[in-house]
Parts: sequence; structure tokens; C-alpha cells
Amino acid sequence: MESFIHIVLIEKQNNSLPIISQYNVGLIKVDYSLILKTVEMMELTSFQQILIHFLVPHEIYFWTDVNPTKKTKSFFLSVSPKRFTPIIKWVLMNQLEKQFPVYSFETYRDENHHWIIKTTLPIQISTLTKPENVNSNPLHMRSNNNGNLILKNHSGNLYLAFLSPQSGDEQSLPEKQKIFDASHLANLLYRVTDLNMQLDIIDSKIKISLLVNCPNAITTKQTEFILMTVRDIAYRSLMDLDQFLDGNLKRIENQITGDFSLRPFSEALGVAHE
Amino acid sequence: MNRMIKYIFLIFIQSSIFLRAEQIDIHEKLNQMTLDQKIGQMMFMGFEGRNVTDSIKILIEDLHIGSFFLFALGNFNFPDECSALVNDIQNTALSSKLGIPLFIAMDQEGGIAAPIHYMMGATSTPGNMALGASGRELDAYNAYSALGNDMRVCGVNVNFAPAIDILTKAENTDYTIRSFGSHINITHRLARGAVRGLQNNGVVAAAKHFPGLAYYEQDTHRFLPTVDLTDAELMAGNMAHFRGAIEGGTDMIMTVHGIFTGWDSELPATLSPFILKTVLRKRLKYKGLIISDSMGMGAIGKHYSREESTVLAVAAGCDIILQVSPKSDEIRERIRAVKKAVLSGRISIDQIDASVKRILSVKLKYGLFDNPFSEPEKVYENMAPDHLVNANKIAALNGIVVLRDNQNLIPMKQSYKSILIISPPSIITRAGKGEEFLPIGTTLGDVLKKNISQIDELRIDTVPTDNEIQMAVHKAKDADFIITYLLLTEFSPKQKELNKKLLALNKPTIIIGLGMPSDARFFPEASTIILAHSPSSVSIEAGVNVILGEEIAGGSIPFPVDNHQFNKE
Repeated sequence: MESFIHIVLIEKQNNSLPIISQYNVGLIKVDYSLILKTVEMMELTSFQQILIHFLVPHEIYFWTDVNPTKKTKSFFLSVSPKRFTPIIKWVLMNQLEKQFPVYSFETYRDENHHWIIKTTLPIQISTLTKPENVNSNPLHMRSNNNGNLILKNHSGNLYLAFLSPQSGDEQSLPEKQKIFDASHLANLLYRVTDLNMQLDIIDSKIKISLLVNCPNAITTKQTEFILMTVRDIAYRSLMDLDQFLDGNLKRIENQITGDFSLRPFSEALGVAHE
Repeated sequence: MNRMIKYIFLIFIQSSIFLRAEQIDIHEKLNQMTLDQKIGQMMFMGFEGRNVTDSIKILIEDLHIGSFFLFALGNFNFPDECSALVNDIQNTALSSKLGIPLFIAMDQEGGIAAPIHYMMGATSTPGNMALGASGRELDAYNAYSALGNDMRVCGVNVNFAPAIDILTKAENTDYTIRSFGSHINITHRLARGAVRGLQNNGVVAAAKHFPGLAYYEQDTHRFLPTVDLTDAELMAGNMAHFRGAIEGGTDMIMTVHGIFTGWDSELPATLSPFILKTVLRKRLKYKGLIISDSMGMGAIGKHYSREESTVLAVAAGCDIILQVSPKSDEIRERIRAVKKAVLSGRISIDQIDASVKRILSVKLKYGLFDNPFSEPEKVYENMAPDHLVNANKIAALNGIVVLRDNQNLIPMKQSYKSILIISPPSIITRAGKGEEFLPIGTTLGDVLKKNISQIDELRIDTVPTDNEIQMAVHKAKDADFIITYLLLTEFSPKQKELNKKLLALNKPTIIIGLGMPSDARFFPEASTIILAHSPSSVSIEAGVNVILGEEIAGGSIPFPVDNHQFNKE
């Protein structure tokens, strides 16, 4: 089975900026608080933080992607309306240059008339083995001003392992497999009101906290199922990479919480053995 | 405002259909239909997309396709979306010139083979093997009533179920717990109960796979298997399983793509006039619809052209040709081939008329001309009604067997300080079937945690990795008590290795079988084995209740634990 969900640690310069990644999927931009947490981790000045604070409600979202050659990593920041672009650019460049040797920088407008700031950095991915034949396809979420979570780009390869062999080849694709074809699973989160994921590094361990609010009981149950599936796929994939994901989800009324820790397998084994 | 207009339009359509339904006359309708329209009604296919696109309109309005197959996640994400989609597609069909409602089907076999999953709001049912362990017709009726209710709530009116093949080999990778087991007499009554459960809830049952999928180990998605049994051997037990479905009044029977040399040494059952017309129609006196299994499967697709296989199937007696593929060019080829065969006299128009008459009669019988719609806004209100949820809890409990408990570990004492649960994850590898995955949902650990707090859960796949085995054994060394599981063990040497290593620690250990009873034969050293026969939520809960001593197991073994002993019998 190919691995397709990874937690990748970027080679740190001044600070460790943990990126939850689908090999190449970057930070799952979720909501206001996560943006602020990220800002905090970037050690921005107070003024810059205030700016971000001011800008976030006006639609700004952020994702990352690792180039298939695995030599560069790009940060994307989508900004709307346009007038904020120079401010963001200034904030971003000012800080990134301090932390990372910036490889390239460009600004363009996408089909939805959002202004995209793309910053590409050379990277070194530490320790983890990377799977082959996994196409780049960034998971890209944002919350709009109404609190709705919108998932862009299907992130089809998040569930690539479900799709082998190729869909449509009926002779080699039993119906059961089609039923559970999970290429759209990530899409199912569109009914979630908001989703908040926070990452913290404590020594060699990464803590991942998840908070999901749903509009009603049935959506909560459905979302729990989706998240359970993602959890178990991630667990297996990380185990293949000698990483151990520990923790669980809890459903209470219309809310799902999750507290997970990620640490090297050998360390987890040591703890189990103590 | 748009929504109001939509509702007014819906009411208008429904009213006009109601008026028309009162006047519907099958013979008259048949006489009004062109040959193209008749052949289109005989086609059952999948489609791409989540709404009525122009290409679907072409399939309905130009090709007159009479039936569609839905895939969860492919055609919809959530049950209410399924309901809305079916309403739209039925509206398209009823608004077309032909104006005939559609069959809308799914493979909702029960247990974890359920595209409308219980975590999406449906009822959790025990699955066939667990029902086989129960052996009670009422339990089958209730399980399939739940499946029928939840499907119809979503607008789905045909279920390609129950699977009633008699399982004869534990090595059959494709079938296993989809079967009621190895006992033909038990399957006879369960098939009858299952069909009645579905059909009394407004869903056409398609009993499958005639004359039997489970005679062989090969997967018909890839291979065309041959069964070398004589006529007498094939008729052993007087085909009581299919007789049970027929007694239950099944309105559809699905064929299988296998060669049965005792009946027809050349043609697979789907293409064999002897098997369909002589055995099924004459010997078993079956009068309902015959539908082929999907014609794109390797068993047929690799050996016959699309045109030839379609013509042979219709000539053999199939009323409906199933093609789960959504490819419209392929369905066009099939339609053209049948038309050509009719025009050349290879297939008689009378046979086509007889098939279409059966199709229209069943659509009329299920009230589809009156009202093929469902209510998207009431889906969750109407799914999983309490009485069926509770009935399925009883059915699951009736499917539990305590195989042995030599150390009296059941009921489990809760005084253990450290309990390790090896649980299947919420999504498992379908061991023996390559890179296929099945969602389970609730895990064993999730259920146990409701009752016991001091547990450590490791979710380990049916095909564990070396790291997973290492971690489990390390944790087990520190545990006072271990609960582990069996599922698809037959096909997973690594799962055998894991459980052997756990048992070698000589700690109090309960094994819970969530799949085939025969998985237990690999562990003669295990002191306590309990069989739930299904990894579905309701069966896991029933198994846990028995382990905790809160309920009494009510089942008997539906398939020999010692597979080899079975083969000698």
C-alpha cells in the first residue's frame, strides 16, 4: 500500500514550522485561530500580527505544496480583495527572508480573481522516506465569512491507495471496491461548520489537536466516520514510515475532538516497553 | 422562491403520474412502445455524476434506459443527496416521451457491505453470516426490512440482494461472510425472510447469484470459472436456497457468470438457455425477472464481445442486461446488437415483449408509476427507525456463538488493571483481494471503551505490518488481559502470526471472530473464542455484550470451523 498522508518536518532554520502534509499537502488552512497560531509561530512583530488579525476575516488562505522533485516547497497565500496584497507581500517577505532563503517570489491572479502570492523555497525534508508515484495535489481548505468550510481541489490522491487499480476498469475493479472508492472522501467535510487543527512540538513529539463543529447530530456522526477513516489511514501510513500516531477521536453532541501525538516508532516502542 | 417552484412542479408531475397510473395498462403501454424503447427498458447501467446531466438525459430520453445503478461516493455522498438525485432522475424519466419510471438499484447486502452506511444514518445490520448463525427467519426478515426501509427512504427501489449462494469453501475470497453459510435448509428460510423483508418495504429483491457463486474460489470479476458438478449434484437439496427466495416472492433473480458443466458445458449460466429457461423457469417455476450480473466483468468481458454476450444473454432468457459501467457507447453497442438480433430473427419479438411486460409489471407492482419519489428533507427522520434498530440488535445477538471458553474468561472480570484491545481499524484491507478496502466504522475498542475505561486500544489492520505486530506484542507484554480479533484470517498470514504471538504470551486472551467461523481453526491453542460473524457495529456490540456477560449468545455455527473436515463431508 502506498503511503499518502504524511507529517513532514521541514528543515528548520530559526524555528520549526510543522507542516501537516499529504506528502506535499501543506498546512490545512482552516480558520481564524489556526492562522493566528501560525502567525504566532512565525514570530511576526506585533504590528505584523495586528495586520494579519485585521486581514483574516477578509478572506485569506494559505497552503503549501512540495514540488515533485522534492527540492522546493512553495507557500501560497491567496488574498482578497486585491488592495491587501502589497501588505501581505510585505509581511510575508519580511519574515520569510529571515527564516528561509527565499528561492522565488511571484504574484498572480487566479481564475476566481483572488490574488495569489507564491513563494518558493528550497527545502530539505528530514528523515522521512517519501513514497514514489504519488502525484502532487494539494489539499486546500478555507472558511468563508459565513463560517462554511470550503474544500478546493479534490485532493484525490489523498486516497490514492483506494483507487488501485484504475477506476473504470470494470474487469479488474469489483463492485465492492467501487462502493468504497474513497477518492471523494475528503470532499465529505463540506458539511462541517468549522474545523480547527493545531500542531504543537514538544521535544521530539508532535501534538495534533482537532476540533470540529457540525451543524447537527447526523452530520457529526457522518463526519466522525470520515475522520475515523482518515485517522486509520494516517496511522497505517505513518507506521510504514516508522512514525507512531497515538490518540483518538471523541464525539460529544455536535462536536468532535481529537488529541493525537506523533513520535518516532522506536520511541513509542520504548515507552510501551517501559 | 425557486424551491417553491420546484415543489409545485414536483406536485404537478406527481399528480399527473397518479392520474396516469390509475389508467396504466401494461398491454396498451407495450403496444405503444417502439422496439428501441423496449430494448432500452431492458438495460440497467451505472452513470457518472451527482446530478442529471445532459448525458443522463440522453440515456433516458434517446436510449430509453429503464434502470440505473448507484454508487455511494460516486453518485452521492450522503443519503439525502441520494434521495434528491433519485427524485431528479425519476422526474427526467417521467417527463420524457416514454414516461416510464426507473428502477434504481444498489448493492446493499447488509453488514459492512452497505453503501448506505450506518455511520451515514442507516441501520446497522448483522450481515448474512451472522444471520446464518442465528438461523431465524424473523431475524433475516428484520435485517432486510431495515435495509429495504433505508433504501426506499433514499429513493432506491431495487436491491441486488440477498446473496443466497451456499458457501462450500472457506478459501472463496469473493464471498465469505456475504453468505448465510453452508446449510442449505437454513439458507432456504433466511432467503425467504430476506426477500420478504426487502419487498414488504417497497424494494425489489434480486436474489443472487443463480445458480451459485460460491462453488468456486475464482473471482468472476476476473475469471470465468468452471464447476464440474453433475446435474444431480447441482440439484442437491433441490436448490432449496433459490426455492426459498422464490417462496418469498422474489421479483428478480441475478445470474452468475460461471460454467456449470452438468447443465451446459459451453456457456456460462448468464448465457445458457438451459440453465435459465429449463432449470430456473421450468424446474424451479420462477416467473419473475431475470437479470444478468454485470456484463463487463472479466468472466464475460474477456471471453465474449459486448454485442455477442448481450445477444446470447437475452436469447438465453435474461430480461435485463446489467452493465454497471457508465459508458454510454458500450450500452449503445448492446442495444444495437439486440435490435439487430431481433430484426434478423435471432431473437423473437415475442421474447422481447415478454421481458418488457415483466419489467413494467414489477414497476407497476411497486407503485413506481404512482410515486417513485422520496423526501430528501425527511431522509434522516425516516431512516433507522427504532423498532428496526432494536430488532437488528436482537438478530446480531442471535448470531453470536461462544465457540469455547476453557478458562472461564466470559463474563470478563473488570478488575483487570491493564487491558489491551487489538481492534480492526475503521477501514480495513480486504485480505485476499489485493488493494481493496472496506469501511467498518465503529471499532471493537470504541464499543469496549463505553463499558471499560482502563483499556489500551491498538487498531491493527487485517493485514498487519511487522511494525504493527511488534508494537502489539510489546504492549501485550505489559497487559493483564488481551482481546484480539479474527477477520479474513484465512487470507492473512501476518494476522495469524500476530495472534499466534499474542497467544504465546499465555495471558488471559479472548479472541473475537468478526468474520468466517473457519478462521478459528488456526488457533487450537486459544482457550476462549467467541464468534460474532460480522464486523458491523451491531454485531461487535452484541459480541461485547456477551463478553461482558450482559447478554447470552444465541447462535450456532453457520459454517464448519474445520474447513477441511467440511470438504471431506
